[in-house]
Amino acid sequence: MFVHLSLVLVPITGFRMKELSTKTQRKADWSLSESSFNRFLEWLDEGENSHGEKYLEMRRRLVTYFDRKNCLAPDDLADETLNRVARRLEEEGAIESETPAKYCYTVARYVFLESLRSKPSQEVGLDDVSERHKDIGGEDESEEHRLKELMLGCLEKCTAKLDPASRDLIIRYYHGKERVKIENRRAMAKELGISTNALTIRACRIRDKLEDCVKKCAGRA
Amino acid sequence: MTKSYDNQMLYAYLLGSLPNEDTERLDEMTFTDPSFADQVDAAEKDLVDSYVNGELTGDMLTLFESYYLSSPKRRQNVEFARTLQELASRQSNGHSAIAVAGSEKPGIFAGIISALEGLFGGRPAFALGAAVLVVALLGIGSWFVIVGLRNQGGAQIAKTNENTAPLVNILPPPASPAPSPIENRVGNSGSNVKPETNVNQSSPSPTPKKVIDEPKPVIASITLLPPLRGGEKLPQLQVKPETTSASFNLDIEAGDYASYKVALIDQSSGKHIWQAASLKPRGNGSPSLSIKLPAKLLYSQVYSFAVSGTKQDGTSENIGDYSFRVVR
Repeated sequence: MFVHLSLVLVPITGFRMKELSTKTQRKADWSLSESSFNRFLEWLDEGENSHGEKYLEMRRRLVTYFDRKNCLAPDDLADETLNRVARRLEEEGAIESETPAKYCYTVARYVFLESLRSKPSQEVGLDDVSERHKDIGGEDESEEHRLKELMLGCLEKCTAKLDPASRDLIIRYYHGKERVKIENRRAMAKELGISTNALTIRACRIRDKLEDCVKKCAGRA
Repeated sequence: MTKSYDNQMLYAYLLGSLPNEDTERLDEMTFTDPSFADQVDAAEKDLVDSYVNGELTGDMLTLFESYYLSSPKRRQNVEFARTLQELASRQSNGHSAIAVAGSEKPGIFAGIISALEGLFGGRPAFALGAAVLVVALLGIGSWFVIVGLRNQGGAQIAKTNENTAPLVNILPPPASPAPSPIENRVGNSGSNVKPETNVNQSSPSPTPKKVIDEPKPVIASITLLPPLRGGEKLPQLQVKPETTSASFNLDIEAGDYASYKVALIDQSSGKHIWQAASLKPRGNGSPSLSIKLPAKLLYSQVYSFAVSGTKQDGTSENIGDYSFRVVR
């Protein structure tokens, strides 16, 4: 099934080296055409037209996956995964053995393992962390304060733009600490007639929207 | 049905402290089981909130600081959680309040809480709940008033602040079938955009079946010139509802690279939308890179193509960012 991928993982000798080199060259030359991209979007959609949402969601999942693995360039690895899947789809015409989500994960796993082999430094070592923290600490305080105020201003604007029910939910959900917070959330869930888990998921979705909105707002400013 | 996972296990997963086998199983589930993915996302937010609130201790705190904070993306999550906490805290301290439907004044929420605390014998939890209810009722009341006035045609509806994007999906509404295969030409007002004639793109797609089923492609095209210093006007790409594809021609100054890598970036959020490596330029005298993307990936906002060239020896150099605005 994963002819091209597995070839990368076996010891390279003689004829195999030539074969691999040709395939690698072919892979390197391959680029995503509009038609293969469209076919890929259709495949991810599994029969319904999500207008690209499934693609964006899959890309987000992949970036999160590589980021959780502490890869230094999660976006690049996510794109590499998507390109490989799209290429495979173009070569085979269809991928029916697995669902798109499962297949993308399988390819992502190979891409991750390859990234470990080819560039061991891609994974962040714990020693690097203190260095990175130094970077954060070294940031100019007034600039940090300005950014904080900017984000707060954006968050206020973004929250004010939510529909009333979502705004009410998010304000109440994040109010209070520890015991007060827990009791508050229980009361909210009861009031809404849903479980606390369902309430959490609902609040998460609103928070994601807010986060996107704040990023956009802060990016513009 | 998705098994509900213990938060402690999810925290261990997020902090990289689960055995490999378990990690891989959960990794896979984050792709294949949307409910589980939601659970993990929620647990991650809880974990980050706990850190921000100073509620993590011992090994959890150590792992959070050494593992979780090692990624710039995850540090952004922490920053956002801090901002959210700050906003909540400012509200309760009366420093600020979210302008519910633009009607409340800063501090009103805290004022209501303080008034209600008296009513509930100094019990802040009850007072808070009642205050939230009052604010919600005020918000709903204001909403009805605004809607009522709007219906009468006599109201001045407060304008949304244009500094923030509307909270809608990144993607535009479904494209309606094309009325004709007429080419949709770029709204070209930028000084670094070459005028270009329309290209007829009504050729049938490779599979005969699709010719019958699908509307004919309508393509919006634009040529972007190499980025210059100075404040030249941002080129605009007009994407109409019937547009199916967006075609870009990126003029490059020197074609002395073996190949090019191009990434499409959403300028407002910095998100990568798409990327292609190993692109070969067309034309010898004035080489250009040709890119075609489904129009549904583009929204009304500013994007840029970050272009880098790869030399024969594999090293790459940044060539520049080709920015443009999509107008729908």
